[in-house]
Amino acid sequence: MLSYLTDDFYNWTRKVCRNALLKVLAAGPVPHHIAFVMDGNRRYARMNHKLAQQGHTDGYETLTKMLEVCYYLNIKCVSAYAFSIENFKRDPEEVNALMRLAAEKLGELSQHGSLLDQYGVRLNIVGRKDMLPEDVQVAARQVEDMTRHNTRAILNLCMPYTSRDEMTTAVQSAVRNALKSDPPNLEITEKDIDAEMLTNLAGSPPVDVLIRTSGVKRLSDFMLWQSCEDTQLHFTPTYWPDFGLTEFIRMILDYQRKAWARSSS
Amino acid sequence: MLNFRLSVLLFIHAIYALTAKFLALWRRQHQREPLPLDAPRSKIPRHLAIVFDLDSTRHDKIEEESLFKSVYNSIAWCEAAGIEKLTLYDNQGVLRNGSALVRDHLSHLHPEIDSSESELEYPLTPPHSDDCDSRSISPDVDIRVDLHTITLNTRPPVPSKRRSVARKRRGKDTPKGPPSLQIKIISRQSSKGTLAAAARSMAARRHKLQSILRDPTPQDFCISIEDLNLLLEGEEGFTSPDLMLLHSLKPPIAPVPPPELLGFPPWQIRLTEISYFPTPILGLGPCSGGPQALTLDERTFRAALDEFSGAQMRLGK
Repeated sequence: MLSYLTDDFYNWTRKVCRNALLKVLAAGPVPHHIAFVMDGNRRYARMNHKLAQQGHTDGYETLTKMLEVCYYLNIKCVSAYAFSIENFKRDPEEVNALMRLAAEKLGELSQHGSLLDQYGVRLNIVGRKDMLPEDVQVAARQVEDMTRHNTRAILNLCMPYTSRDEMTTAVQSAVRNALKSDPPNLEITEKDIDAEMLTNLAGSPPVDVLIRTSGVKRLSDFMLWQSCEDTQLHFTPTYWPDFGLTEFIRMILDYQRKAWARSSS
Repeated sequence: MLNFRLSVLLFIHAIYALTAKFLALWRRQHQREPLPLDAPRSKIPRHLAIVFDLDSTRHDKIEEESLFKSVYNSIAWCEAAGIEKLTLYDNQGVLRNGSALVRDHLSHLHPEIDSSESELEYPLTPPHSDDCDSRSISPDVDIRVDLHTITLNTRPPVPSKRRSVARKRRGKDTPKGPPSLQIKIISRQSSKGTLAAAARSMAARRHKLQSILRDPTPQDFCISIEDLNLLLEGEEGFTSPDLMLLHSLKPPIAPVPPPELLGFPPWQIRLTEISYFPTPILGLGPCSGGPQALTLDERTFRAALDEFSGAQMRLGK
């Protein structure tokens, strides 16, 4: 009984301290858009003698925690690389398990009173939705429709996504728009292509910070267009399910140093 | 209340800066010496890109000298390590404007070989995807995209039909060249703008075809990733580097800022490993605008090769 009470007290104190710390951080400039490459779920599972699926479930928990932190920091947009088009090459059993997890979690998110509902977050599924199994497509449509009118923040779940696919689609759309305009305006610019990027169509601001976990130092076909210019890249050795507030705060501090240096010059 | 929070935040920043300085000092004393340039490694990059971060407010002789010194050194290290392609990029276009200097350096280095320079790269017209649009393609209309790259070759001229006669005449006496290295100098112009240029060319071609065919219900324009890739990375195009080394000529203080890609072409960095080993100056204040400009050192270059040889490539699996 006493241990339950101490546990409760500990958790309560922790939450109060965390929220106070986040309020302090929010007193400085915060990124408008953070992108996560949630890498290392399977290696985390192997290291902790868990099934790969459990690793993905724990990874989802981390995402929820991070979204909460971003919400308290007033970060307007979060993008997460949930599933790459290339991931379809994985073991079918694992792909099916991931799709079941996606359908289940999207279903939960579309419930009233869910995290998105509570925080006023609009959810966009960014990528080739047509490649998803039918039940996931239905769940995705439901949650997108339900959150369409939320304006406080944006969550882009990139699945199944690759940046080259996104860039190709953007080029294709820009060419189609140019040909359809009357009279045809064939002078397509960088801006026209930028406007056709899926993230921009979903109303996202430019990516300020990109975080990749698990020690891999490459972008792996994620947000190449959006992060090749003015984006701080953070590569951390931590596996995604272990990613926590301490590392996240360091990234916010780095962003604040950049924002202050820019405004003073 | 906001002032109080801001004061606490500034205090956190001070602690962070102090901790980062101590950590940088500790790391400097405990860092492992990277392997020599020509040491056997499990893998070496075939194509290396070096991205130089220049101070946009500076543009002085000292910075330019450091930049070109870094470039000349890198060429020698690449040859020593057996790297085949070197792409050089800087965020201010200084290298592109000064490409003649690099060419002169190469001709001094290897007087026996002509360092050929070509301004424009026109890859082949890509075949169109099969799922749509295939009916209206005319092989007479070529797509051309200027990738704005400058190629400097230190390798013997590639045998082509035109050159085969000359090669035959030279026969066995063809001099043994130095280790072959192809150098490409690119700038911000080779970046996002090349996708817009590709789109313009394709739109112009399609428009021309539509007006020739006078089709009242033209099919929607379609392009695949492979088509676009052939246009941007084709045989003569600018291919994706295996490893990218980011180097800032601005001396950073601890905590060092996180890496940024500074406008490097987005299409070509899909699977590129990114290396970044900034050496912080452990002073007390910011060092911007100072007379120093950090030349890339061999140790950093070797450390990047070491890191690359240990990198895992899983390709989505």
